Amino acid sequence: MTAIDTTGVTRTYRAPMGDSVEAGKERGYIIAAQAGDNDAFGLLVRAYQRRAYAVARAIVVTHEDAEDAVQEGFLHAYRALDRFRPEQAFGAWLHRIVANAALDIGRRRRVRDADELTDTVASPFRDPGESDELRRRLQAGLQLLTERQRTVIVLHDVEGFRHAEIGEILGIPEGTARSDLHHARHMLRRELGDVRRDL
Amino acid sequence: MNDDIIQFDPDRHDDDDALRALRAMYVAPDDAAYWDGLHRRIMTYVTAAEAGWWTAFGSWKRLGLVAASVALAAIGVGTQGSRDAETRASYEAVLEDTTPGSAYERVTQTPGLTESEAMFQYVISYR
Repeated sequence: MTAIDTTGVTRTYRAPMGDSVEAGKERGYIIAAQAGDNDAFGLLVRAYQRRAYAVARAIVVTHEDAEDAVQEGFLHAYRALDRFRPEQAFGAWLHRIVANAALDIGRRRRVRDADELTDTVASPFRDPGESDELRRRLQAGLQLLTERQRTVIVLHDVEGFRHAEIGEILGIPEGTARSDLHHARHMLRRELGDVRRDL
Repeated sequence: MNDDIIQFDPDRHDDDDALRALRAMYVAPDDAAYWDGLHRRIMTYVTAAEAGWWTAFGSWKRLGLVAASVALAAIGVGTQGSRDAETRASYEAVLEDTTPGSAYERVTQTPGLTESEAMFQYVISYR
């Protein structure tokens, strides 16, 4: 695992289980980061940036906004590190912060350019062989959902988060997450019903 | 990891297409270089944001010192100027009475007074 230290130098560390961190090591990194060790914070960023991106991407409309939300989220987390309690799950705590940053960016984006959603929703990393018609209809269907329903279906069906985790990230009861998922699926299924026959 | 059915509807294979399209829409980059870059970007942002506090404070501190120096210099110049004006006014006040037509002249030219009597008269009449 590599991390960029405060002087901009890339250092190499032994990777704790790929990009995920063992609980004991994670606790050590958190304590070190709380004591002002930026390299330790860099290791936490390395370990959590993919999941943080997934959370942000489920909430905002574009890849670029997701990156901004992750960046903002990590900065907020860094500044709030002294308020993090060791008995909490770091991932859940961080994801909630990133989700709030993403929601904030989404709100500002809606105010700025509400008309550009259709053109920008697609990921720049999508498969070029994917059906344009299906994608277009899926985008249209997603826009019929509330922001929370869209977030829930992406977090659950795309990213594999559990209902309880989704509830924690979005600050809603688990049952509400289940209900949002049910309605989102129903809506998308209805929206995609006739496009399937054309495929 | 998940506690629910991944597909929209497991009995309908066409839902696989929808799910695939949904995943394609939200897929995260799979390139290690991308994540290295994002990591670098995040750390640079965090470090700069935190350093920004002190950097900004440092520049304000320097600016404050310069402003304080300028203010002190201005106060010094102002004080010197008012002291000069005060001295000048004092001299003028003294000199004023020796000019022709002044109180001193009037007293010294009073008929019947010796020079010392006139001087005494002038001194006791000075206000």
